[in-house]
Amino acid sequence: MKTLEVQSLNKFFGRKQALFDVSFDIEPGTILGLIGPNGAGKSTIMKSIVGLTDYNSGSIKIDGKELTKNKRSSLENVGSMIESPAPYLNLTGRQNLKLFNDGSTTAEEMQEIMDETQITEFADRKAKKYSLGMKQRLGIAISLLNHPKLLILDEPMNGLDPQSTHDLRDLLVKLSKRGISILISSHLLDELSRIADYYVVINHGKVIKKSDAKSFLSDGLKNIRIEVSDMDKAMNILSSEGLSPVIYDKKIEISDNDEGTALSQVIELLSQSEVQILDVTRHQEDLEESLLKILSEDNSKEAK
Amino acid sequence: MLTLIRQELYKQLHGKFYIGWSIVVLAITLLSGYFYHNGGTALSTINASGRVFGNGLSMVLIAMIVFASSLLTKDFSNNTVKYLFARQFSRGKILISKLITTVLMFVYLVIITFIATAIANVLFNENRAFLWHDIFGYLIGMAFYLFLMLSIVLLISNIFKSNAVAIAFGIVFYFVSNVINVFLNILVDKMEWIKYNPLNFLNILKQYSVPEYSQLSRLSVTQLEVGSIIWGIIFLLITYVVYNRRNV
Repeated sequence: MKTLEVQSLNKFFGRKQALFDVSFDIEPGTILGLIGPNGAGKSTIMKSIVGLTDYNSGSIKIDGKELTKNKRSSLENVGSMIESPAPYLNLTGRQNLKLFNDGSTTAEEMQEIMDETQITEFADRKAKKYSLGMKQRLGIAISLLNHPKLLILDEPMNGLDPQSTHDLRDLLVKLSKRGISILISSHLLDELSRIADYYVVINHGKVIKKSDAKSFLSDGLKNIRIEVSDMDKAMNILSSEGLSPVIYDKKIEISDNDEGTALSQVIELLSQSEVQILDVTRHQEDLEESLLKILSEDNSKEAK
Repeated sequence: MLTLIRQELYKQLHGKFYIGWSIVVLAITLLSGYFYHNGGTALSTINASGRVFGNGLSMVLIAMIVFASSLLTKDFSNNTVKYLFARQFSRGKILISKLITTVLMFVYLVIITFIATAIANVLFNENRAFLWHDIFGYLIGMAFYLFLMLSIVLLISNIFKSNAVAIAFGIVFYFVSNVINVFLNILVDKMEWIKYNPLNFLNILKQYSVPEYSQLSRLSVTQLEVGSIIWGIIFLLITYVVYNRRNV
């Protein structure tokens, strides 16, 4: 059974449609990265899943149970931190955890959560004295209370220092190995790319791509970057052969395929023209580059 | 539901509201006890335990208006509403748990007032007479008044996102409602149906102490009691509808 199933979700803000038939699902013990530009609808999707905002049509099932405005029992299995952590500032971290514990988390489990999220050290300080990173960790600790099967984390790495980001990454992977499914959005794509099993790309309220992490990145073109003795001459030769070279970081960049056909052609053409090749590297697009390309293609489609 | 009530009480017990207002209620009740029992011939001739209790309850009234004004808004203002709403509990249950907490807070402050009145009676009243009838009269009148007043305050505060604004508006409404009431009472001569407006039912507190007030309200105490409950329920239902539709 899937931990989360979102089907044909539509949401309007007044007359403006914010979500268009959004559908995706999450398998148990996997991490799904929800990515897209600001205002694309990521937070609206997350808010709809946890019942913070209504949706106009579609359905949301958590662990097989339908979630509606009045049937909310499925949220028993969900821990969330949406947009930013918002603990009770007049309470300490420990008191916040006690407050949000529905009674199913034992004292030992609570201590374990505090240790895992590294808040034990400052758990007895009032939350109003916390830095953003400390609040962020407390927010994640709160979301881990009550044995969630699904974690929904909106920008959980905001405000965390590199060490804490690294620790959070490890924690999320550990949680997913325990069978907890995680829906996460983050602008730190490099961090996300290290933990996500699947990606859903949202643009203008629509799902424009769904893919597992491996094929998402391999879909990206493999470029070759060549450093040559005579840049102008090389550019003319390669352009005349229809290879569409571009200059990037004082090197010529050309798109290639898995078989490396373009690379052989380039080497042959430049050798014949007596242009000296100083260096050749292959470059695989990372998550950020892939995302930007997908968004750019989608935006051009919409413009047409 | 018990989890929600426990959580609401936990928040209150770790807040400053109940301690702060306990001190205010205690101090005002004791002070008025001192002045009523030792404040010269005119005041000391009155056996004043009922009035002392009434003065303490006036503070409870202000405290409860502040409490109700921030009851729903505070979560929006502090953004903690995200944790409150993103759980398995329906908003109806959340609202009911908050209303139960309000009743418990009222009972707690009334007990403080009662204890302070008793202390004032022992300390300052030579004949030790304790007018139970007066005390319960104030209490019942106050309960009806507060039910209606707080249901209006809850409904109005629901439209604000800022806690401070909601509290300020609640207090202002408490005073302004008296002024509006005076104007509406004048209009009752021309249009009798106006006597059924909700603000007229706020006269219940005065009418419990001064039965002659019925000439102004044009309603009996029983009518005021029934009307307060009906209007209170209507306002609470509207509050529920608005609360249920609020998006975060």
